Amino acid sequence: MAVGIVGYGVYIPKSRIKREEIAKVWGGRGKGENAVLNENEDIITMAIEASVNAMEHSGLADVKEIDAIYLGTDSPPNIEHSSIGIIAQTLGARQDIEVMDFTTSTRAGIAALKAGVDAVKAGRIKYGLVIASDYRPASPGSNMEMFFGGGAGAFIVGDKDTIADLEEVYTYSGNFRDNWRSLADTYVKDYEPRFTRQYGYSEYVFSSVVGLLSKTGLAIDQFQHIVFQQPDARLPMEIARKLKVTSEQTELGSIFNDIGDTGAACLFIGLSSVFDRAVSGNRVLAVSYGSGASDALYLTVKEPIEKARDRCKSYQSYLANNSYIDYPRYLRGKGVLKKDEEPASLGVSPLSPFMWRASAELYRLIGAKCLNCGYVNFPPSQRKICIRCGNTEFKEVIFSRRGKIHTFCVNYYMPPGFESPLPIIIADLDDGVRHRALGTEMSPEEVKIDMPVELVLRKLTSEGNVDLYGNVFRQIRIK
Amino acid sequence: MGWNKVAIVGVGIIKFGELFDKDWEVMVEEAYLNAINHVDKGFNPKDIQAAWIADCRPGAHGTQTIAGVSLVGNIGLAGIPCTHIENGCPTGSDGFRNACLGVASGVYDVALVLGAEKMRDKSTAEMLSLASQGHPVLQRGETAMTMFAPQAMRHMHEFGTTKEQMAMVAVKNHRNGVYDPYSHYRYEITVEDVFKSPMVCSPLNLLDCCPQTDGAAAAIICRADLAGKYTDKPIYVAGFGMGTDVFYVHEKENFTEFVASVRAAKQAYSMAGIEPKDIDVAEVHDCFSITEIINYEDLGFCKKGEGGKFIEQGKSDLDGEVAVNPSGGLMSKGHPLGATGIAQIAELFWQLREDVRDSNGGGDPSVNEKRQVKIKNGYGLQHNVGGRGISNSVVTILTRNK
Repeated sequence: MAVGIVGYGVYIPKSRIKREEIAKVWGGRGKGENAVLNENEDIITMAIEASVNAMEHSGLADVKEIDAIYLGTDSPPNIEHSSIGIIAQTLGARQDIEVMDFTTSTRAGIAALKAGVDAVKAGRIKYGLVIASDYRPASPGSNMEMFFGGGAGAFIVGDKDTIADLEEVYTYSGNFRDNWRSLADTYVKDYEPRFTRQYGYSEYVFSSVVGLLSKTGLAIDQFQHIVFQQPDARLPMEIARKLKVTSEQTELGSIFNDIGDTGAACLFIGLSSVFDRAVSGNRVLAVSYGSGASDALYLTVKEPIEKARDRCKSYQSYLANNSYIDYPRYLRGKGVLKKDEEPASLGVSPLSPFMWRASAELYRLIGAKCLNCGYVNFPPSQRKICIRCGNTEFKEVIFSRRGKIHTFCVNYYMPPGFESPLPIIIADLDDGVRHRALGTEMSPEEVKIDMPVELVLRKLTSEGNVDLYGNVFRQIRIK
Repeated sequence: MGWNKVAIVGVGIIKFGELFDKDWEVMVEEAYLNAINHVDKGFNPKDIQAAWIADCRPGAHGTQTIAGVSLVGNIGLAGIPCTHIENGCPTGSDGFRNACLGVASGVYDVALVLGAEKMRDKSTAEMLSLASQGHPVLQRGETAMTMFAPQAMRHMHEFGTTKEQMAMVAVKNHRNGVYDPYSHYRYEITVEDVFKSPMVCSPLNLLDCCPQTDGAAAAIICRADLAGKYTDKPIYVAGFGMGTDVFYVHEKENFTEFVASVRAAKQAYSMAGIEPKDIDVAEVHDCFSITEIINYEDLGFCKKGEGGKFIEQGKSDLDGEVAVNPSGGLMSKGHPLGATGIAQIAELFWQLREDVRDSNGGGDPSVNEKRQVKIKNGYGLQHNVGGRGISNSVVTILTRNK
């Protein structure tokens, strides 16, 4: 049974820092750039955006068709407590689905993918959503800071109308440590690179590729596209030379200079970039690496890829839609540079039953449409009587996430804990529903009445180290 | 004729400002004494049978004045009934409205209504944090200016209202405030000054906004037929109204008017049996410059969309069609939430009696009299609008006509 990917999606955060900006502060050489997160983004918000794109690309009619969500990340916001709950709730997935978290390694995304494909093969699920999302914490001034970036990719796995099949996998592992982060560490650590490069990445990646070629009887030049895990610019080039891989083979999957080392998401994003251009019949080799283990994956591109191209938000389109920030702004995004002030208290904790009662409708944007007058009441947890006509019978509706600004303001003096200046937007969504939310990723000068906007989930604040999420408006990023 | 079942026989306010040296209780005591000591024919506090205390943010100062006892327990009147009222920006005027209902019901002959607000016992950051509390997601970051500024944006978009016109409101109200001894600010500004002041919440600059002010104000009311015991120049309550709107901003249908104000005004005019053109003087809610422009329209002083022209043509000046905010308004006098509405009523009491010159003995009479409005029809209008989603408004119409 051919099992593989029926849809894919990427998400690259809008902010970019040129590595030379980092070099200006700490010395060293900086070529290329990293995609980095704002304060209000994390692996959850990126995972949701990539998943929405993957769902759209898959052509699946309804998210309810998804039987499993597997998430791979090396930087979950919580050591205990899964990130999948909020992702599933925002996407509107069923609750009787399989959920699994894969973590503690930059291989976590590939581990999730393998598990997803296996679950389809075992007949346990029909379609699975497999997500890799990562933004590992790098200490200011460290080697890793020069390299780490953020991003996410998502695959819908299944056995019908696949755009690429996973043909074979070969894994090589051992007891080796180059990068790690203990419970006591805030940032990822590394050890003597001259030693770890040779006996870590180089040895494990080489061994898994050789093992895969031997297992499949294929030669390296039979692969049109090859994507290596990319912890820096040099290691993939060295291994390519060693394996006699050409630059044509790695061209589409090379993302390090554009967005940095995206850890567990690297291969998902690299593969997506390949899928954007690959044609039916292409063989693709993807090779993961994470501190003492490497998987080599052999995929073949299938014909349905052609039909789905127009539903795809390409990697290149995300690259082109960017905004360069300086080093202080980058530190703010990481939470390293922040005001010594107590953020405005929420009134109720993010853990309050108040929030629990409303979470599904707040994340998914579910309204109660009055069966008498048609007005969409929101939030339904508080509206049992139509505020326009007094009727008490409703139909559940999901909001359109796109619309136009009806009116707005930009507040330059927000309470403590808020970003300032901050746009606050009242927009009419395409389905006629009026919604009010904060703005993000837009400069005060850009905001205008009638400007098209879209709603995306973001982190609003944290209280007692518990994050609060909600939808915010941004300019439509990719049409 | 108007409703006229209740009369105001005395008012008292204190000098508004950043009263760092005064407890909330002291502000209350001073406003109360100022009221009872300036009743024309004298006043015995024992006549007060019930009281209402208006305070919008009791949590903003140390003693958390959240119950009726916070008034009567502090002015030696413990024993009589007293109710605490909180209703957003119209807290003071709604306290007054409720006191009027109490007296008009026939249960009480004489009542005290007192509004007080401590806005400066917490830091600006703490007050902003307090103001922004609400639904953690749907009202995230919602402070007063984030509700009013989008109205300005939309009003500019739909009617071509300009920032110059908005600035003119601030210029006028600051000019009036110079003549008010109780005003927080007493200096003139220019349109240029408004433009040069920092952008606070687009399109509103700092001088488009009212300040953070401590203050207190009191009024003594009684059954209209008993007013003669206290004064020969009572001011009657000709009518009042209170309007509400939806709770959340996303539920609002219209961002160029305050529906609550329109509803409150309609009730008040109808109760008083008069029309907007009959109003000689108005104290209206100018928390932001745009608010006053929209008020002109909502209160019927001009047509929808013409509020900008109304200020530009000087129609709300002291000698205009209707003098609006002779006291300097919230913008110059200040906006201590619970006190604001009652202070507006105090100003109208003096204006309609044409004794602004005296102003309970506050200030220099020769300066005070410069803000005296010429009273023709004998009607004054008080207005507040605010609360979550700008969802409530109180309008009170006062008259000297028996």
